[in-house]
Amino acid sequence: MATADERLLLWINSLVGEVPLVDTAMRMVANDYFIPLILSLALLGLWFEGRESAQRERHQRAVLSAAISLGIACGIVKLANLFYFRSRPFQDIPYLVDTANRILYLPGDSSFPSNAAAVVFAIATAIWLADRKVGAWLYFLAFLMPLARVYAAVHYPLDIVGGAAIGVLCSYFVFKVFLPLIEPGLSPLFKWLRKLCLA
Amino acid sequence: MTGHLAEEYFLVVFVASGGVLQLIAARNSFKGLLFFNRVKLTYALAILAVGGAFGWFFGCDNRLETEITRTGLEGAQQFLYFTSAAFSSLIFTLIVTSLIRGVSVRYPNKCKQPGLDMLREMSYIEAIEQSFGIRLKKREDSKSGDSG
Repeated sequence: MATADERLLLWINSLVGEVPLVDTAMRMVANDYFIPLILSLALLGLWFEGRESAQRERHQRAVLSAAISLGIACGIVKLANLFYFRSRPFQDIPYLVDTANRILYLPGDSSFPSNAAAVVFAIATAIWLADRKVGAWLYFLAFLMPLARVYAAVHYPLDIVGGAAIGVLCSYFVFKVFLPLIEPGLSPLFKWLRKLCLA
Repeated sequence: MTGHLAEEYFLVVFVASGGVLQLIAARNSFKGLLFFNRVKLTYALAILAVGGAFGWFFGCDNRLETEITRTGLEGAQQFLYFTSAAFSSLIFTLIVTSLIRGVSVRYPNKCKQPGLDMLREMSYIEAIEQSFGIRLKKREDSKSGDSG
């Protein structure tokens, strides 16, 4: 008997092939480059964005927080993969192999938790904590990539929820706990970056 | 195949980062970071750079079929290539704008705000000179004065 997770996956996956344009869009969004590249460029832009230096420093701290968070999130996902393995949907349901191949590729590592979801949600949350407006846009993009991966049958919806939770929690931890802890080191860093006219 | 994709990824990040920097510089009036004085021209250049880079990388050479959806770069490699390409693009922007603006304006006035705000009024090289209290041009002048 199929679990709710499987049923939701099969429902989303049933849309594959219905509208070719949606398939093309999902292929674009699901790959390892498109959304991460947009998010990374957004971080670069955000570093320099702001008319007031206080606003800019808030953005720069968020960018720093995003970089640290995504590193920690990736580490937690790798660690989780050592202790727990969940097979991919296309491995459990063989007829989904064609779909996965058409939209993305066939990854061999553990399905849970989703590394992609952890990374994009870590970045979006770090920015959202500093700037709600930009953060909301990044959350929208962050939501699209994992959705496309469920569409492609390379992840179950629960993998996405797990990955996103790791990303969000890592960003909260870094922003609220880790950055204040390393504040004595951050202030001289920003002072030097300002001296170099880069902050 | 991965080596080829790595070079292409570096190039797309380099060009798109340059576009993003121009866009943000125009939005925030960092004149010292602009290639052109005209804001509309800068916006056009920025959109062309970002859109062109994305269009080339994701739309040309059937890359989506052959390389992009067939893995290629690991996450850590992507991070490394992105940071090096974005940093190179920033350095390129700072050098080119300093050369362009250094010719047209020298020390218009002293900027009271430290950091990036200095780039609202002067080029990067001038901002660095002021920030560290060094005057490369003056030093050259005094050298020529000594010899004379």
